[in-house]
Amino acid sequence: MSARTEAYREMLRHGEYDLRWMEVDSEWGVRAQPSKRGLTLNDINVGSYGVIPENARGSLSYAPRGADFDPSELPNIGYTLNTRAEVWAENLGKLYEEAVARQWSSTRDIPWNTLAPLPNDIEHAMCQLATFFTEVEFIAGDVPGGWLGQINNTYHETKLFMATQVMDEARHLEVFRKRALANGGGLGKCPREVEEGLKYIFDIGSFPQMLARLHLFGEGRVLTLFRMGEMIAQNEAEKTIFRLCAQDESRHVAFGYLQLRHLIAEDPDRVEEIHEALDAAEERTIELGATPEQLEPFLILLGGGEKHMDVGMQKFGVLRHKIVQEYLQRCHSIDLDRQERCKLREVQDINII
Amino acid sequence: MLTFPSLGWFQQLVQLMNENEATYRRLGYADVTWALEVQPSSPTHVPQLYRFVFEEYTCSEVTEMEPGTDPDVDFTLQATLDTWCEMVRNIQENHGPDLDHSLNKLALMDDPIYVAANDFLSRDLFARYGQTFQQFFNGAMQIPTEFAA
Repeated sequence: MSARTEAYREMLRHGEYDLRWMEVDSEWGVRAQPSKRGLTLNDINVGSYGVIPENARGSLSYAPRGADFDPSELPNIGYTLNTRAEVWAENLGKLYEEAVARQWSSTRDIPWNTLAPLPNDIEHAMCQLATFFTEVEFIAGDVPGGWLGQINNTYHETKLFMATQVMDEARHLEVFRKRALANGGGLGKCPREVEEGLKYIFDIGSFPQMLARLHLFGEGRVLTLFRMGEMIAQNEAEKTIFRLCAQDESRHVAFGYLQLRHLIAEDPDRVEEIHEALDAAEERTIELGATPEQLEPFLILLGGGEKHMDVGMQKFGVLRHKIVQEYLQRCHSIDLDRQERCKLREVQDINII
Repeated sequence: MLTFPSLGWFQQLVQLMNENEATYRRLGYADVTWALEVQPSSPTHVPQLYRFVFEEYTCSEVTEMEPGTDPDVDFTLQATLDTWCEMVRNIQENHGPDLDHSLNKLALMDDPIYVAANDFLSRDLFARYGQTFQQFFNGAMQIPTEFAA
């Protein structure tokens, strides 16, 4: 027991109290005013509490931004992301509030009663796709979750948003697993190429590279696939699944976009690091595109059956073009000129300027 | 009977949104300013431009603007008169859009609806609030409508 604790116990034994904790050396008398929708995270960023330090290397404990504490007395949690440039951006508080407000429930909000028996090939394809999305959503939750403990508490807006992403991805994997098991099919195959591609994201050792790979590239790609979901949905339940997931995915893309734009503006030397992550992402995607478990369900669903996969291939080609176009436009919007370097063949037909 | 498209028709749509706050609250708030551009489908048609301000669960403002002016919005949904009329008719006839006439589907490939924005983050707001926009246009089911020739 520390001397301080012993002394305090002695005080208590004598019926005395300390109360010096009231002599707090933080900003006092704060009256944050609620805005129209209530007391938001941005509303409480007032006075010294709203000052976002350029770096927080001197504060490596769980003590929150603006509290009264002596960093030298507190344990070092070992945060590795301790600068504003790396892990903060404008509007993340607002994005967090939006995430909280737009949550939904896969149990309550999907009209599961609209599921009906489907032809065998269509059910197989939808179940294989649901299996793939379940794998993807696992990684999309595990990765931000893994990075949460690396981010300094000073930048709590970032951590809070990432926590909502973990919840979103949990709901997504839940809803796709439910779809696979709710209409006479079951889970499909998990090929090595997909799993290795996902492990690659899990193993990324740099936060900006993770943002580039997972949020900018991966979530952007999945966003277009979810938006496309309406074209392959066979009933109202599937349509609703894809529509609601697309909204969430778009927030995740926005998070990566805001963070990377902020980093590039504050520390342009990190651009090459981001490019390298995207180089690898594009290479992996080229391999994934030639994996039957990945490609063929889309072709069956887009074509309208196993006998019309050629039609599906044509539609999928158009969509792939769209995915690459949107990816390059997002890169361009954050001052990342990717067009010359992009390894995806669809880039040849795209002019984003 | 209100004519589509017209300011009166969109004001009615806005009123329906504002009277159904609970539905929009369930979807979550949407803070976005956007515009809808009606492009001529034939030489006799006149272009039109409408600007909407969504705040939280309601639409606080709808205005008709001079076509060709900068509406100062996050994004503009651009389509021909025929496309907009077909979408609204489909929503009314099917009690909600069929698979080929949802906003998302019509805008997915940039044609027949194009989502124009200066910045891709702003453009993505269309997807981020996708269900809110669809709910908004689904209000067309409740508006007795005659379509502009």
